[in-house]
Amino acid sequence: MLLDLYTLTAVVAAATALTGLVVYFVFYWLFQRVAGRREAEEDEVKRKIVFSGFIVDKPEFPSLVELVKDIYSRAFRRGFRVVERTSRGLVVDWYLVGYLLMLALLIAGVVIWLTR
Amino acid sequence: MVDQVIWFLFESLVYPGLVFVVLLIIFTQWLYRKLSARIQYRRGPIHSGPFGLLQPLADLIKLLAKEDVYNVFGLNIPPLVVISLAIGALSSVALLTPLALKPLYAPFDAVVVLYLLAFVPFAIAYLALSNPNPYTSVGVARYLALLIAAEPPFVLSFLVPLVIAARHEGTEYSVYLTSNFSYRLWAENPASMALAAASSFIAVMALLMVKPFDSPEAEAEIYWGLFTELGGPRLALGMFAKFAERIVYPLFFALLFLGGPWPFQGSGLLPATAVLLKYLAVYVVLTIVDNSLPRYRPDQAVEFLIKYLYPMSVLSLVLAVVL
Repeated sequence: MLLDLYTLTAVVAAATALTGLVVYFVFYWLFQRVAGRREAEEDEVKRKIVFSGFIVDKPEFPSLVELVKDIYSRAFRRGFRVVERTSRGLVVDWYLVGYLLMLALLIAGVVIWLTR
Repeated sequence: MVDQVIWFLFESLVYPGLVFVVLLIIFTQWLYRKLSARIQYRRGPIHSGPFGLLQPLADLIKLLAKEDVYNVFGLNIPPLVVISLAIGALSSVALLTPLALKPLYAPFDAVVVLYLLAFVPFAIAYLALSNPNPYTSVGVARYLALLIAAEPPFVLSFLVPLVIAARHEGTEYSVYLTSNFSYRLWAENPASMALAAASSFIAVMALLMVKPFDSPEAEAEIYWGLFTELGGPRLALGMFAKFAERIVYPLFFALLFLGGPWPFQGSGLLPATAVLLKYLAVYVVLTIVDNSLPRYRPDQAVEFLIKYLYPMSVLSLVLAVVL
């Protein structure tokens, strides 16, 4: 069935939302209502993080960004340092980068206008 | 209008939508377990249903019927809604393939497909992180590192058949139309298609966490990483999304690189059967690879993907545009 892109996006988004809600209500809500069992006795470790038999009251969650950076730094030792230094420089000079991008847009706009 | 609404509901919820995806997951998981068992000199599932065919369904029901427990640092409802929407996205993209009785298509619909596919890994990562645990954080970080390395080459190599078909067949970047001409693309630009097929297959392996790229859920190392803290219905929905991904990615690989519905055209029983058989062939290869290779370390996986996959996929796209 040939549609235009906007209609197709709307139809697929509607199908996604409908199917997602059906999944939630059937596979989670309904199952929990009809067949969901609860433990007869609840102990103190339920819903807590336990390491080596001990309850961890204040677990440390490592930073995802640091972990991803660590993986990339191990994969590309020298290249990663260059990218890190460059990207840090770009962040520091964000106004210059923004200015250059704006200038590039302006030039592109003028060129497109002239070549119309 | 009423007919169209009923048809939309049927296609979204029954075929090729949700019910079909659930049945296909049950079958492919059974196949995966049987093949893995044969490779490891075991028998695999034998008890539930004929030949153990209903074992994945029994496992799903067992998990869904368990009490929903999430840890004190976790979120309750939002991750469940997000992962349900991700499952909805995966079953909805089937409407844009020759599996549908009346496939939907539009110029540039590949953008919609790629967007929906890109949403799913982040939903899985969100579900995992919503039940925090140090091992989960390590697993999610490895998963995100892998996504950064594998998603762009996948998108670039996914675009190659679309570009070639648009240039030679006038398919206007529609996935369904391209799949109908994909058997001709190998003759029109063999170098580009070969490079794109290779990089796409490896990217699919990484996105599906098939060995050697399964470091995010390395069981013996980080206690299943992504899924460490998940149990009961949350684990069921997480695995549901993961298994649905294992249907959709190989399906698109079969559609774009293995001739789509060829030797048939269009949609209907025979083209759908041809597509499903090709999909199953890709799935079997992925299963055998998953059971045969050792695991990369996360940095090795990322290094491999960036060193080899990025140049391959960029080159294939350049060749598709130039030749």
